[in-house]
Amino acid sequence: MLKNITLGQYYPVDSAVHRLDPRVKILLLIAFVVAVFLVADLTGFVLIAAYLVLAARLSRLPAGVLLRSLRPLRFILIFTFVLNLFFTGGTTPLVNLGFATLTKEGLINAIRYSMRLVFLVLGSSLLTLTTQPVALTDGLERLLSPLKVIRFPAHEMAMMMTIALRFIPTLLEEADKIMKAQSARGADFEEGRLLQRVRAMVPLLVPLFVSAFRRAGDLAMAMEARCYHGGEGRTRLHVLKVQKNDWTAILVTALLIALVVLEGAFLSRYVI
Amino acid sequence: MQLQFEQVTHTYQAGSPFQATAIEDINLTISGGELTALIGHTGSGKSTLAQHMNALLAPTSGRVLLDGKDINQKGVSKKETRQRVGLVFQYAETQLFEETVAQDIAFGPKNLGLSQAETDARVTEALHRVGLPDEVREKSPFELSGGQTRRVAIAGVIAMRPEMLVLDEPAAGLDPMGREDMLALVKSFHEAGTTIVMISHSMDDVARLAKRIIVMEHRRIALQGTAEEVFQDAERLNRMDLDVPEVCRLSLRLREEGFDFPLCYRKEDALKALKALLKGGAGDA
Repeated sequence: MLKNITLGQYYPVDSAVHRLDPRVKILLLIAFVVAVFLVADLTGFVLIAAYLVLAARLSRLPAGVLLRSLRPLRFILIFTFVLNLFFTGGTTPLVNLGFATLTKEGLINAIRYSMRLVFLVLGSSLLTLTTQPVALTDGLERLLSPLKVIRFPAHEMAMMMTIALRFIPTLLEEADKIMKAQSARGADFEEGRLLQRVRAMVPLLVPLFVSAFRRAGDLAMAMEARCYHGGEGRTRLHVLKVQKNDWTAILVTALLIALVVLEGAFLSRYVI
Repeated sequence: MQLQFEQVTHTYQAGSPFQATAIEDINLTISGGELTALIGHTGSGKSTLAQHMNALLAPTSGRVLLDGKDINQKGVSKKETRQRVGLVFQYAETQLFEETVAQDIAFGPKNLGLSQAETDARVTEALHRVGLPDEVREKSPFELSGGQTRRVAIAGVIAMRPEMLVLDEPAAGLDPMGREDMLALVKSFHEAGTTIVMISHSMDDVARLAKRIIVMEHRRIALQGTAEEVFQDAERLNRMDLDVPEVCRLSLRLREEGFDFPLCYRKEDALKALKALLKGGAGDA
């Protein structure tokens, strides 16, 4: 019943992209986002698209899996497109529909903003699909650790996220089991009006919370029993190391940004 | 009543990279009044199989028939199936949610749409059948001991008056006394006329209770038959890393040593045979 919920998106295949250092991947995503916003015209989008296709091919993800990540955003995409199409204004009319006039500027803006959204979603999905959640939080912790100077609890935040992620499948499994147990007693989670359905959640949520609290207590005890005392002086099992592949990826991305900037500065003035 | 599995296969998350087949090509028939034990290792598919018995899971292929009717067909009431075939999950006490024991037991009967008076009567009856005193009615389930909360959970299923009761490891995690009591309870349900399917990995428990045994290994049924037939194949059970009951091991060992000893799997039988053997042996000497 809960099988369709995917929270961790990680798609387990072995590829060069999967093996990249998570810190590098996070930084590259930020760089990619910057590049997407720097893009001024269609030529720039071609560059971005080429980069994305290259990364997607290297990641060996099935195209369908990557494209599926766009699905939750389909309404926002359509909305963005239509809104920009009709409300940009502009001076070069293309089609007159009677109630509104489509302009060239409107069309360009509509394409530009929806393409930006598409690229942002695909780029970030590429990160979450190729990186295990735990590796992501690990990378994040390392990236944020300079902030410890201003007392930002980077380690504690990462530990909390790791624990939360670790227990999502456990709690889902638990929820599934409790749901089945209550269904076996004739509970109905799928039918009825909104209020009935909300009420039907009580027999699911109460046992789930009870078990979550019990698990939290057990875990805290087990961690204390092994002398956990926060991040101070703690060494790590997996030491992240930036390797040759990572440098290649960094260089390619830097090249992309350079191209986008150059193209924006020199070409775009003449093309559109 | 009769519950029938026809070539049932179930694959979780079929079509994704996480797909896993839990049971494969299961054929079996459970008839009214039987006490069947389902044994096998963790991951052999016992629990998945059990969840097909009351349509909590639908087969990926194959059919499950209750009195000849496919329970997963459109138009067949799932609620009715679940009333007729009660399923008690492993560590069933984790499903309790109401403020009082009585309210929790009433959950099933209420879902069936029974009147308040009928529900109350069912709660009283169920409490009685699981051997809990009337005083616990108004207590919170969280005030009771582990063994008692499990009984409350079982009462919650019994209150629906199922014709067949499927219990997933009912004695798991209980102390030896609690185990004994739980097995006695299962036996009492059977004697009252309920068809029982009990999942277990304890051969000793199974040997004491079950008339019929189904052994699962690697998603399939590896062996099924009467207790005698299954334990006869001790060697194969050993190969599956499933212990034969201690009593059974003793009698096999005696036979190996050349004694004329029957294959026993119940303590009482072995005791009787041993006495006879000793008497006979003494006579010869």
